[in-house]
Amino acid sequence: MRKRLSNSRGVTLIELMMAILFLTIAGAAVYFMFVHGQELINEQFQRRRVLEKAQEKMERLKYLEKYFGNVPDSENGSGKDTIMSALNEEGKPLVADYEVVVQHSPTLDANGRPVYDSVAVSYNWKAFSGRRYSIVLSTKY
Amino acid sequence: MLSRVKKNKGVTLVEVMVVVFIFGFFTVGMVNAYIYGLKLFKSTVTMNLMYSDGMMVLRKIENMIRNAENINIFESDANPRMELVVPERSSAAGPVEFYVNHSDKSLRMNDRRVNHGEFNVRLLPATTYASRRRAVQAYKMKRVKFEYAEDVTGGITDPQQMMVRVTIVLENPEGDTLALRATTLNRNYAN
Repeated sequence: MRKRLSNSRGVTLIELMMAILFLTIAGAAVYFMFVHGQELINEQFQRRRVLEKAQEKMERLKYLEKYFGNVPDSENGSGKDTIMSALNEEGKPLVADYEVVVQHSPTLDANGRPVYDSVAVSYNWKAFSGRRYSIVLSTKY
Repeated sequence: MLSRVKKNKGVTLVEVMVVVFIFGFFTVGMVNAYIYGLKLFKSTVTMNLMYSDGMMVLRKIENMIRNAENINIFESDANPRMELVVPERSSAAGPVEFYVNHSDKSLRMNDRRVNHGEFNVRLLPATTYASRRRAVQAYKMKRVKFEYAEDVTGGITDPQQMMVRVTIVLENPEGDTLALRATTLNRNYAN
């Protein structure tokens, strides 16, 4: 005991550096946990925005179906929709790719029109974090 | 042991200052992280509350728009208003009116249908929570907009259909805003 105490020379540089390294790793883990959580929450609200757009498209198809009797084939197609404008000048807007698919039923009614139309609206987008999301809405009119 | 005691000269002022500095540094970091986490938690809780309340009200309005026989919208930023003639089994006494009450900054529904009584209900902000001292409004309503969604119908005008968009913007005490939008098609519309 006496020998150990008298030999005690404090901590070495290596020990100190190891301690700092461990603390840094632990701190970084906590920090990224916060950032990741915040990102996921924001992306859920972005998802909600895209869902509103997709529902809007579905309502449009329903509107056209009543007006023309069937959903017109011209609605088939794909494109890009701006979901959120850029928050600042350097930022990029959030853009989603969409696709609309209209298929008529093979069976026809007495007037020679398809009995129903199958419609599908899909949205694909890449969030700012790089995660990919997609939404598909489909129904029969 | 004896030799150690003799050699022990305590700690210097510089050593004490270094230790105090390091502890202070860590404590400030910890307190900041705690406050940030608490703020994030509060913000998320009120955002969820706003989302669920807002969606519930939007669904209700959406349902009424779908079944309405006539829709009248007064597109105005200062005084947004929407009147719906909703079918009832008994003869309707008057339309259901959605409007913003400026005195308490709330979205209100004035239901004048027969058998519903003459009643005026506050839809949003829907919830208040009681703090230890007083009742606090968890969030407030920033903006409401009723509009004919002509951009969705793309220039095609059908006298029997009407596309309506309702936008509700809510804000929590932390300053985060939540915009909820619903575009709804009414197929019983008659001018």
